[in-house]
Amino acid sequence: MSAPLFWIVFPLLVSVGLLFLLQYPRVQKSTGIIISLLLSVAALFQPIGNVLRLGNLVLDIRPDLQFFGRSLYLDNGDRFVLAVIFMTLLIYYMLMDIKTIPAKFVPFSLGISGILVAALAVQPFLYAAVLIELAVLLMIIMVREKRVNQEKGIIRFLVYITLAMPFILFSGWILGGTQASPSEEGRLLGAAVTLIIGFALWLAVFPFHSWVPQLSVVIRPYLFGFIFSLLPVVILFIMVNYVSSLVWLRSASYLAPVLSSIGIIMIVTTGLWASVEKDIKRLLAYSVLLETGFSLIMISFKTEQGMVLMYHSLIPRILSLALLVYSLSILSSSGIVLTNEGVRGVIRRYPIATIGALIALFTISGFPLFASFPVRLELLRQLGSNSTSSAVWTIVGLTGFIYSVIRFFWEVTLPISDTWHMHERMTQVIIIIVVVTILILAGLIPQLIEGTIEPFISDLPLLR
Amino acid sequence: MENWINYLTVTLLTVALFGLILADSRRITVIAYGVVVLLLFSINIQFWSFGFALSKLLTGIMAMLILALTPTEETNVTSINPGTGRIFNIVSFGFCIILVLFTINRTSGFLAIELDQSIPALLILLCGFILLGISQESYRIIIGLLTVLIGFEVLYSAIEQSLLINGLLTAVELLIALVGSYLLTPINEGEEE
Repeated sequence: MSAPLFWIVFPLLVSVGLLFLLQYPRVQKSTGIIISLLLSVAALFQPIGNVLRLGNLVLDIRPDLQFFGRSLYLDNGDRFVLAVIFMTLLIYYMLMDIKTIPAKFVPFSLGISGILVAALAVQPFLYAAVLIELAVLLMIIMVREKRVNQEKGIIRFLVYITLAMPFILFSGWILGGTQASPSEEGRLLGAAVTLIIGFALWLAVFPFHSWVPQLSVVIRPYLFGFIFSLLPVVILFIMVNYVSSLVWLRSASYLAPVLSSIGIIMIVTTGLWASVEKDIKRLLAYSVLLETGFSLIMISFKTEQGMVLMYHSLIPRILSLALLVYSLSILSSSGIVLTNEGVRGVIRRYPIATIGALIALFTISGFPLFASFPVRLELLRQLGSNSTSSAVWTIVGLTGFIYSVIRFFWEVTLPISDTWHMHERMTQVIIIIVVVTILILAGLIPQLIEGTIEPFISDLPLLR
Repeated sequence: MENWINYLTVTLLTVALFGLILADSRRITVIAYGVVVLLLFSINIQFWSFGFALSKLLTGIMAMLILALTPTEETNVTSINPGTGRIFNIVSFGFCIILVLFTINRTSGFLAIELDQSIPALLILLCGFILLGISQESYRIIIGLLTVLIGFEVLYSAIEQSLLINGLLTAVELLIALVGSYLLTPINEGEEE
């Protein structure tokens, strides 16, 4: 059996099967949890290329699968991202409220994950552009509901992601032609420019970011969180894999300043917009853009420490986003309008959900004691040692975001009424407390996350 | 150009693209888009195999039909000012034509394809970008996206011969039309949450 068969074809087949069981949401959720748990545990513990023994059954996990003359290749370097993808899926299935989230979420999310893994595995790389497009088209069907005025934001999402595809395909074609003669600097520069524009569109990098807040307003926070826990992470991995496979691009003198500048611009602009934002759903979008900006800066270091820091940051990033969208979903499904005015004094009615949202935002901001703090601190230290002005601008952007978080804190804790009530269900309380505990523990003992990713580091692309 | 008849085809194509940009109803948009796809087929067939060119034609027509048959509440698809808005659109596309004509030799040289294909492809591509840039209505945005894709497909299929990638691009075009149709379908009041 090959690894792509297990991590790509299997979830795709299950997702197709689940489409016939849409009227049984409990079965959907349970199946989703079992499949994602199985796939993430396998990614964590089963080395690719080794034999898997299950009693008398012996499975040889080969890294490649031939498909219409093309190759899908997953090796041990991909196990970390496989674990991240299927752990994310597991988290979202566990947080799924079958009363409010459409039943189609499970089959579509499983299918999307399979296609995104295929985008990571496919060789040559240019096919990844088409696969990402297919995944996005499925995402659009997944998020579309019987609600009016939803199409504008979704169409923007479709347009921006679709426009990335020609750029990536075109850069792939240029690079295919120049492999024989890498001395053609003009063509290489053309390939680099189209590649950067393509990735910028995919990652919603400034100035191609406007669709992210627009999308966040028109779809459920839970679905937004799922999309933006997976899509930017997979694209970052594709980018790192691709850049590390091209020696000329990896060693290009302009790569680090370009990535670093884009990252800083993203953080500064996001911080400024967040500081004047009154819509909490849009703040959610800015938190995603902020994280992407930080990831680009970490990649721009082009050092082993920078890359390990980027991999380290993924776990708090996904957990805090999941906690934020889960808490906001509780508030939203209770009829609370997710604006500064709407959430005024809400801590007295929904204390646990509000604390969950606050701690998620504090984590994203990099507050001390929370999981992102060690990452942000190390990033600022490394950035400051390279360029003081870059570190200062990053702090300026981060300050804007922190200001918006403090304002949210102030609004939700306003003493509108004298009485305290807890309207959350017990399962919701337990889930929020568990995630909050993990985020605090990961902040107090950062070695927990380091220990989790350490076995994978030797196989991960490090841009060396 | 290799074939003199293509001067006529490209001229007609430019007129159809102007029609696409200035269309103020779904019917005119669909007709203009259909004419663009047909004229493109008449050019592609000179350079590609009949089957390949036909598959692109069928994809374009199917995408157009999917969108044309989508039930929507609005019949007028544009809210642009009939006076200044139209002039702005004409001038924008006029500048694009000038840009294409002034850079075409260099572009064709870089891509190593004939002028007969590169001129219409670039004109369609830029027309699509204008539609994406100026349109407020979802229908026209989807048409703009499909226009960008068919323009890009001509360029890309001319330089990349892989059948799999071209087949996937065709599938993407059809899926975008389907998703666009899904998004454009109005929600009945009884269904609204």
